[in-house]
Amino acid sequence: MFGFSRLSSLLSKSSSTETKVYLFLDQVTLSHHQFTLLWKSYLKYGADSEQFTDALAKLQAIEHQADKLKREIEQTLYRKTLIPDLRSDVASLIEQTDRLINRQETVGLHLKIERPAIPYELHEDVLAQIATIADTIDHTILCAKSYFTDLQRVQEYHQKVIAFETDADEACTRVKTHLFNLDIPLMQKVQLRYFFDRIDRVANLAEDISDRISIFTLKRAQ
Amino acid sequence: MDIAIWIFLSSGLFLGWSLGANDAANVFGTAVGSKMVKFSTAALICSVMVILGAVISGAGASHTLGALGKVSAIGGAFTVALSAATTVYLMTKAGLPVSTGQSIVGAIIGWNLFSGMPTDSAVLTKILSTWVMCPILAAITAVLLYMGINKAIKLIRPGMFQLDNWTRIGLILAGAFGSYSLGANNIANVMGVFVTSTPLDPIELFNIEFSAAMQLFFIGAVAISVGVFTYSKKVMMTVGDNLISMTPVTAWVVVMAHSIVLFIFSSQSLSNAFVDIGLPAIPLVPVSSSQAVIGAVIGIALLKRLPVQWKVLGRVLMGWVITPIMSAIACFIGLFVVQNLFNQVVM
Repeated sequence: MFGFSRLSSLLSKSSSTETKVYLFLDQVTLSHHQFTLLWKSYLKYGADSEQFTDALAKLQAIEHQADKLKREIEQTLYRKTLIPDLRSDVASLIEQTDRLINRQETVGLHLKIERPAIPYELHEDVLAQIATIADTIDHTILCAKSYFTDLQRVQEYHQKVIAFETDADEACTRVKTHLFNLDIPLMQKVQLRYFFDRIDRVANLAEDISDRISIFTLKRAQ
Repeated sequence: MDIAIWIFLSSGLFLGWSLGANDAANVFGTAVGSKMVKFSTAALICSVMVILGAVISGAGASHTLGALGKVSAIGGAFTVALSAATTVYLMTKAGLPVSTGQSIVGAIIGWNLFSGMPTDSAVLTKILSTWVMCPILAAITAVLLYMGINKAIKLIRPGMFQLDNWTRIGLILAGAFGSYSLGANNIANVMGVFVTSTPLDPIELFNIEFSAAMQLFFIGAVAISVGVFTYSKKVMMTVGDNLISMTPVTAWVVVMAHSIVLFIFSSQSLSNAFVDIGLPAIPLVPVSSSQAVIGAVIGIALLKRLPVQWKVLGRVLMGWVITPIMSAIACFIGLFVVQNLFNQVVM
């Protein structure tokens, strides 16, 4: 039975990597969901609230889990599994996607450290900006999943990512314009602008990832 | 078994060892080199299939070699195999991928020259023509397979992991088929010259009679397996990207084309089937596994308009011409030494 178990373990390798890749991509969806909750609780209850602390802890746990999965995937990719000419593309995709989670966690941490005072007039704009980023990320993940399952759909999702990222840019400009029209100290305006830009960078990164996937797909289709 | 037989067979075993060390890389090289398949898995499959191929289908190609020169004394067979093995060893040391088949044919001609036996020009022409046909046929097979598999992938549109799994299974199956064909086709090179002079008696195991040739082929195949396990890993790790860079799917096509060609040139039943439908019989000749691989690689390179390293190819072609000549000279000198210095009967 030695030969049989060896053969079946050989064949199950790529399916275990596949499971890990999908689990990893799920962490991105979970992380953005948590990021949205984090901002909602910050705006409603403040940095000292139980809700905010809880949301940040959960976001950090997701980041931890994603890091662990990323390392496992990279190790198996290079040690034994997956078509060799695609290994580096997949590893780079995982690496970039992991940065999406890291960026969200960093924004969360800075909220906790800096505790910026966000005027009530901006709340709606901030949540709208976060919502467009959620759309961008969701479609980036769909684009990534299509790269693994159905190459034909990659371009379709890529186009949607580009459209949502433009919306995110507009949302960012809107919130910043609104911010600088308020009658508050310039120092506070600059601090808040920094936060809105950091949120916008999440969408930019999502678009970068989608661009890379589109190039990887062209390479594979050749 | 008499110890003297082992001493005489040692040169054939050495040849088998070097065949295993070099040619297993043609079958499993890219799969192992790219880490798609573990070396130990590849070596295990390769060894078992080489032995099966040699014992079950080894006879066909061996008859053709026997027709080229009937090496009648075991001392002569020893010298023929030793000179072929030495030539392969030296050429490999010089960095040229050589064919055990070409080396043994050269050595047999050396024996014919030494013993004054005529070389059957019809048989020689048949063998030489397959050396030209083998890479061409491999190239054509590879091109057809490549076009077919690409069409299938575009039609079925498998996901990346699915394609990965299929390629892995494909490489294992193609490797197993390639190893079987290698054993069937190339065992003649390793043990063919001993068939006429062997003092082995047929034995019966589980109601199946194993002829002297089958026993010889089994021993030779075990030597090939030892070569696979002890030395082929090094060759496997360096094979693949020498002429063109290959993807695993391309590698699969190359291994399959190689295996099909080797199988064609060793299958008695396929040849019989050809005759039955009114086609000419397929010449059952030991062909070079490396030649088949190179033919397949060039075929794909031409199809995809990839740059081929013609300089490397030129060196390979030079090796194919030098090998039989060098081997014939080495055998002639070797026979003289064995006959006159060691007082052994060589013909």
